[in-house]
Amino acid sequence: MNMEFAFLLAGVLLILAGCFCLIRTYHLLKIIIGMELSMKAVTLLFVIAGRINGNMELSQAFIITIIVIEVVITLVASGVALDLYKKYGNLDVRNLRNLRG
Amino acid sequence: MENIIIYVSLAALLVCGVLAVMLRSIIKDAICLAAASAALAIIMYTLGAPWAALFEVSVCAGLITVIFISGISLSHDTKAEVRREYDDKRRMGVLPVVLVVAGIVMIGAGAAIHFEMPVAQRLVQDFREVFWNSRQADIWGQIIVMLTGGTAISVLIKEEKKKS
Amino acid sequence: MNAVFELLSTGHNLLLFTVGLPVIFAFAVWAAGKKDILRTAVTAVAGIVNLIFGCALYFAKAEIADTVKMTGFGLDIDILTDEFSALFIFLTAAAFSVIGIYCSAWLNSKKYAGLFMFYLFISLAMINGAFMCDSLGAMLFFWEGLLCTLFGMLLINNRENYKSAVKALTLSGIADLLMMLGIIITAYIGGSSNMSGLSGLEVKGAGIAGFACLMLGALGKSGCMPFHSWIPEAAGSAPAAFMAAFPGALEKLLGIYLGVRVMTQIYSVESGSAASIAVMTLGAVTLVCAVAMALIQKDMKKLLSYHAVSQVGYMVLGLGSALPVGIAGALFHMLNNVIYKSALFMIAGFMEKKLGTTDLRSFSGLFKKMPVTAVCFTVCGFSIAGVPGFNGFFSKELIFDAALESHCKLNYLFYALALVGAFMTAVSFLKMGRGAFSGKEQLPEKVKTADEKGLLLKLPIIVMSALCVVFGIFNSVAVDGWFACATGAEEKLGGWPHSALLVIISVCVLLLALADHIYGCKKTGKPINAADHIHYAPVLKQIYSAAEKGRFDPYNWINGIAQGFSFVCVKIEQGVSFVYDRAIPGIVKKTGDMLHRSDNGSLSRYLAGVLLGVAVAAVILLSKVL
Repeated sequence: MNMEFAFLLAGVLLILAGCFCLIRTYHLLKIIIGMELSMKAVTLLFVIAGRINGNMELSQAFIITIIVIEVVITLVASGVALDLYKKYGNLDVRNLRNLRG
Repeated sequence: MENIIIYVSLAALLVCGVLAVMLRSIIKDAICLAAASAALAIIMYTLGAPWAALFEVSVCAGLITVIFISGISLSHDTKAEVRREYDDKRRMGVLPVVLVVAGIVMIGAGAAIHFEMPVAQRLVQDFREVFWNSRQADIWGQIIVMLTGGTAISVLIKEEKKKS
Repeated sequence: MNAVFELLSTGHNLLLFTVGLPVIFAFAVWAAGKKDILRTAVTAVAGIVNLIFGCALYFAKAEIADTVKMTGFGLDIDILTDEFSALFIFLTAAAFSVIGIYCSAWLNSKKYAGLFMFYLFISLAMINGAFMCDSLGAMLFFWEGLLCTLFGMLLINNRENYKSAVKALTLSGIADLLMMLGIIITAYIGGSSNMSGLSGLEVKGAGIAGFACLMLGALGKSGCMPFHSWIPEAAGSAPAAFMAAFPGALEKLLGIYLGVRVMTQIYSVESGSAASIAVMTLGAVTLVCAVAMALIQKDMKKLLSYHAVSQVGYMVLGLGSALPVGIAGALFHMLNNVIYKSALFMIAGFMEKKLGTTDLRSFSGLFKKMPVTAVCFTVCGFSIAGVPGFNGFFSKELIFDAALESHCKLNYLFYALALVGAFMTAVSFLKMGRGAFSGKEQLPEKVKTADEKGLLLKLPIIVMSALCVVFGIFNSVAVDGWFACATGAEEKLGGWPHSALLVIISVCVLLLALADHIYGCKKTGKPINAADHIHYAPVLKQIYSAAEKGRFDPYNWINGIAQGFSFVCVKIEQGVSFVYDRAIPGIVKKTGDMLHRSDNGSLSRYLAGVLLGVAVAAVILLSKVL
């Protein structure tokens, strides 16, 4: 039960929290927040992985890639959310039923 | 000293993350997310990843928060925050309990299988060399993603203009 | 005669002349068709030629043993005409020459005449072939050839009502299948598939099955129970000429030939053994049941056909005793049956041609109009009933003697059953004879007059009836001269029976039958109802009505089993098609509906699904690490 294990635990819990948010929310922008939270947790796990391996530079490279992707996702998702706001008048997830089987 | 900083930051990260999920107001959620990013950056710097910390604090804690808040203001629905439809605190209320239970399960599992996390010796390399030379494929991927995102945004904005 | 025998003495020639020549004559007579005189002439010529061959074969008293190679297939037909089979060929030829002329004359101006005679000639060829074969497989081929001609003859005028033809085919076919099984088992036990190579097999173990199958198959062909029920049914729908030829004469020759071979040569059966008792029981049961059914019939042809079955029972009873007395009696009885049974059927056919019907209730008192027929009928009736002096009496006494002398404990029971059979035979013939020929004259509705014209129809009947008397007088010629080759008897069995007591008992039975007939006449007024007091007796009434409905008919049992089997098959097929057409598509559709309902367009649900998949993948991948 050392520090790395605590980090591992925190990372898994944060992923769990992010997924929970994704599933339970009715707010379109909250979905983005949930995704962001999960990605931060992954970042944390990468740091720990780098510490275990001893190869911190490689994990930093990965982290930078993840952050760039985070930004792009946030941008595009916000754009889509705003488009939907214009169509439906509110940011409710329950409007999106067109893919109903 | 280091350990204290690390543990405090870790606690802050966890708390801010859970709060970001559970709060009802979306602006407060964005701010909590920024705080979580800051805490993560502190952890990373302390653990010996300065470049990652730099990126984290500048991009996530800064840029993303700005994007969020601009998005929120564009879709400002004052009534939505108090509307009970997005009743997040009630819907997400079970989250802390779930997390605590999961944590206990994992600690128990780890103790049962005598899980040990090894720590290896630190290799000394140049970060810049690693980033620009070894991981060139990553850089190309990042460029493509950024261009795609840009295209997507411009398309979305164009549609707005057409409609209006 | 010797010159003819020389001609026949190679196997190839024998096959050609006794089998091939009738086939050629068959085609000739089919071509002659409706030209009555030509057809009858061809039949007469063929009969005489065949008779010459038969006489040559028998009276030369020499064997022909040869092997005819059928080119290329490796099938060889072994031919052996020893004295016994030569005798049968001779008897068949003699019977055919008389009956053939009758058939051809009977078929005058019927449109199926040529086809019928064609089938008859092919049957003759097949029978000749069956008699002369030594190898059991070839004999089986000829034996089964008769199935085709039987079916054809029954189907001739009867395209719509094919049920009796199918019944005959089924029952005869099953008998033949049993015989095939018996041949296979016997050949396996004996190690040879030729009759000359098999001798004295024991009836033990597999031998029991072989013996039983062979006997059932052989005797079933001649109409023993349980293969008998097609004969009365055919009597209703087939031409009377068919009845005279087949169940009357030809089939009995075949069946008893093989039966005697099995009992004396192939298997060694001792009197009093279980096999012997089984065969005697079969004979006794056939005897009694068939004649009981005959008693109540009101149609002449049906009555005669039931009697044919019952007389086979006598032959089987004699055979089963496995004593020389019994075998001689069975063979002599067979010869007598060929003579008087065919004569009786020919009389029935004659009456059908003149009166249009054979229903005894519709005519009576024809003695004045048809005197010759009435006399012949009386002669044959006395023979079949066993009146002393006629040929039937001698053969029946031999069989009674055999039943009593057999070394089993039930010999008195068999004797008693045979006497009961004799009693009922006499009663039914009294009924039929007096009902048809005596009393007040009465003709069927549409017939204005009856006469006896038709020489070619009458001549065979007269010849046969005369033979009844001749063989009555000269019975030792037959019993000791002809049939000694089969019985191997040292003692003289012909002539007047040794035991006077048996003769007296038989005569008493006949007088009892006469008394019963008079009693019945007085009670009901008409001769043909004279047996009604037996018909409607308390217990017998139920048995008779059940028999009339066909409860005791094995053919109906077979039909019931086949229907049950097809019902089971239908259920299985429904089950299988249920699984393939309803169950599996139903499951697939229900699963699809369930998935459809879970796809309700809710983002939360989709995300949950995605995360679930990711979690599963993570577990699978991580399990390798750990």
